[in-house]
Amino acid sequence: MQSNAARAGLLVALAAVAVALFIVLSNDDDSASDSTGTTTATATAGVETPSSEPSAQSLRIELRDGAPVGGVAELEVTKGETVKLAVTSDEDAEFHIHGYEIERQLAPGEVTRVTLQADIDGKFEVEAHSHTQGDIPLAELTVQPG
Amino acid sequence: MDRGLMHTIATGAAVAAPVAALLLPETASAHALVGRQDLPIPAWLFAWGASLVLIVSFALLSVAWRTPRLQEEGWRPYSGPLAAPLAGRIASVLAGALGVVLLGVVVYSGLEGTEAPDRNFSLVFVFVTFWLGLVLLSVLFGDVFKAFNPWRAIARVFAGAFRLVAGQSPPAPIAYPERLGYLPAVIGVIAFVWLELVYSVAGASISLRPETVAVAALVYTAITFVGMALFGIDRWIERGEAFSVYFRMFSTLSPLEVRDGRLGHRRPLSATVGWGEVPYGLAMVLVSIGATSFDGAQEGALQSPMETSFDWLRDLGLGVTSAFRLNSSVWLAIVIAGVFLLYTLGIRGMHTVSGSPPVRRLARAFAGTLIPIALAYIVAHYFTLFLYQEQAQFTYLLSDPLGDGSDLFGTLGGGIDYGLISANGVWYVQVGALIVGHVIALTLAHDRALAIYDRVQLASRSQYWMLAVMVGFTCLGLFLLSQANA
Repeated sequence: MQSNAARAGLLVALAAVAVALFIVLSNDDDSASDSTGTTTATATAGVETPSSEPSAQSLRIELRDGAPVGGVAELEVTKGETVKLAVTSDEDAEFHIHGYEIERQLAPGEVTRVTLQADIDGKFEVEAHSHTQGDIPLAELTVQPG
Repeated sequence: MDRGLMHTIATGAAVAAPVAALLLPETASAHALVGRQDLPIPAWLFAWGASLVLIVSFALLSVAWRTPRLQEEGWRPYSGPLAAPLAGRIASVLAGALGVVLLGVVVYSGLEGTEAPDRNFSLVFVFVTFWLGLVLLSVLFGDVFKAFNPWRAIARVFAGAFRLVAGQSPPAPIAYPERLGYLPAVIGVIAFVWLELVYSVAGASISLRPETVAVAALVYTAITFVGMALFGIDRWIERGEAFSVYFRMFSTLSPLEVRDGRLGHRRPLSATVGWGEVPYGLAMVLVSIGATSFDGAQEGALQSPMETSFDWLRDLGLGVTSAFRLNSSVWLAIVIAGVFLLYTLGIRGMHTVSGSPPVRRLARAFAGTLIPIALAYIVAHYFTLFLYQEQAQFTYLLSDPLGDGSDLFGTLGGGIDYGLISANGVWYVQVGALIVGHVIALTLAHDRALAIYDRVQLASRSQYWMLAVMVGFTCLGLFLLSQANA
């Protein structure tokens, strides 16, 4: 039964490869798998407290000359958190958060405040639809599963 | 698709050219504006998925059976009360009529409806409901597209009228050259995915417009009628008509089949055996896998090389749109070529086992075993898109195909519930699809090998190569998922 021996050998080898692969890949991800801890530039959220207080994250977006100041922001939150956005624009435009389908009218000199409960996980584009400049990406909202 | 077509569908503002987007594809938010994009599968799930693939592969090999079991279809007709009417004339006429109506709605709404792609029936219907939905229906219920095929239905009416007048069927002037096999269909499918994945993007300035879809449908209709007129209706449906061949490929996985007007059942998966025997059957499977891989890769794994080559083309003096299209076309070709290469390497390796048939025969013999993998790729990559867009299809797009505010069926107020499935749920479906596809593909390959090699031992040895190919494809699929939208 030479083929059986060969087969067993291969099986062991591949199991070893699988285990090695698993260890290598899961190593750098330890933190993510146990807490899905969110790290964000903008907010310090009390992730540790499991009690009633839901955490909130905020982001300021300034649209000037057809582009967001400071580039397209990336905001990452955990499902269930509250996201607060303050948006200003130097022109009339439509503000749109895809997926959540939130739409607001932006006007020059006004601060538009949007509060959203992040209860759908996934990745969502935050955009302005300007009449002169078309679609302007403002931010990317990533909602990690809780 | 996310990047191009779904940008088009989701924003609905494709008409104006965004200045920011013109500068670089990445600012055009390379990840397009699908309402909700999938999160990349996390590393731990990737690792579990890959490990599981290896473990089940070898578990399969060790419990392997020694005589082929899936090589004969063993078709048997159903005798139940529904079997006859389902495959009968009335059902066929109704299905054909529905197909013709839907083709008409696609063309009409494309030409006359709103420019906003997300509110126009044509785009979502063609690229989601039809292109993805019929794959699903084919796998479940067999070759249903044959009944719904609008071109076949129209041609048959025409042929019937011809018979009434002339007293004989319209003659097919040319015998279809057998060595062409599925080549016209493969070219058709490449053209379709090119329209979907390459043409629709173009630096976000010009997206795929409903009107373009309507015109493409009309052009394809004309081509199909020419093919049918030259080679005969049935012959062209069997070999040349892209959608018929593409959906039939997936229907080989189904246990249901209509033969001679009778609905029957066959051994599940057994119909995949002969898929590669017609020339270019193999090409059809590999193109499908390649196109889905390309679409997955352009949102993740290939994003930065594609940006580099795009910049390079721009530096050569190409305009944004042409640079974008050329770039995506070349990368699409590269990915498809890579898929061919991986398969060829596996076949070459298998050929080193003594008692192997010639490489060409071997390559064709195992073509059908990749169909489950092609299906798994489609499920993993497109099922959320399907889930979301079908909600639009059966609510506002159904009631208001032109996007002019009419409410034909009272479903205009409906919309897409993006919260239908959690990110975890999405991941498990994606990884699950790849693993199940992998197991089925391996099962088929093992069975095929037993039929081809004289001795069980040789068959097993040949399968180490096939296993490497399949593990390669499945891990590639997992990798693309782990990079998507990252």
